[in-house]
Amino acid sequence: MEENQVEVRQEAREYSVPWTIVDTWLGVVLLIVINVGLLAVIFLFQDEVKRLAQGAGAYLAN
Amino acid sequence: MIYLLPVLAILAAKRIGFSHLGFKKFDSLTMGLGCGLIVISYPIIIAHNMLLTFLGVNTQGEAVMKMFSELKSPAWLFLTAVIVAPLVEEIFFRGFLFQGFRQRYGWIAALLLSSGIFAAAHLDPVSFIPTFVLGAVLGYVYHRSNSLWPSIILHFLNNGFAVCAMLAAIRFPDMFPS
Repeated sequence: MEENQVEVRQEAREYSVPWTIVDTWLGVVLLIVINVGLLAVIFLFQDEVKRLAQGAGAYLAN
Repeated sequence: MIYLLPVLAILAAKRIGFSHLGFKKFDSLTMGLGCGLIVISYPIIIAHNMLLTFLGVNTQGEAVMKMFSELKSPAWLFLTAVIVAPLVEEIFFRGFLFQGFRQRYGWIAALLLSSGIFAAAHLDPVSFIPTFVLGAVLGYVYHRSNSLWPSIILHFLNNGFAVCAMLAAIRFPDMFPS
């Protein structure tokens, strides 16, 4: 158990990044907020989203 | 693109450069490792989809195929699914999440966590397992190379292959078993 913890601590030093675990979890929370927002937009404006995608597709194809 | 917002906001608030996400040179052998792992993972994904088809469950592929066939041109979906999505997803899930988790929990827990969140973020319970497997492969390739490029390239290839296969299934339906 203690060996595993030492191993994880060594790994943490080896793979250190300048943001913290709190920032990482904050990123997850923001991802959830974005996904909920996107779902709401898709459900509320289904036809408009489809028209937008078709218009963009036609524009890119030309 | 919107998935970049959390990363940009956090990096900007902490005044951290984009280079910390893993835009580094890589050993080409890790690309070979990634290709091999993707090939190994395909039978798992195919078996999973066959099981779902056998059980009469609609897979994500069927929904995307329906969406594809309704569009006048697949160019927009191709651009978003093959070019933009892999780039943005790799920056967020491997460059930011996996690295953040790895320094705290170790690489195995980070791999499982980031792959689980990657699969859940696709908002399709039916494709959770295949997406988790893909996330784990890309995460492992990132871990071995410590560079974002191999996983971005593999993600491009994987999505490109899937989109081309779907286009082929729509254009030449006789070639594929129903």
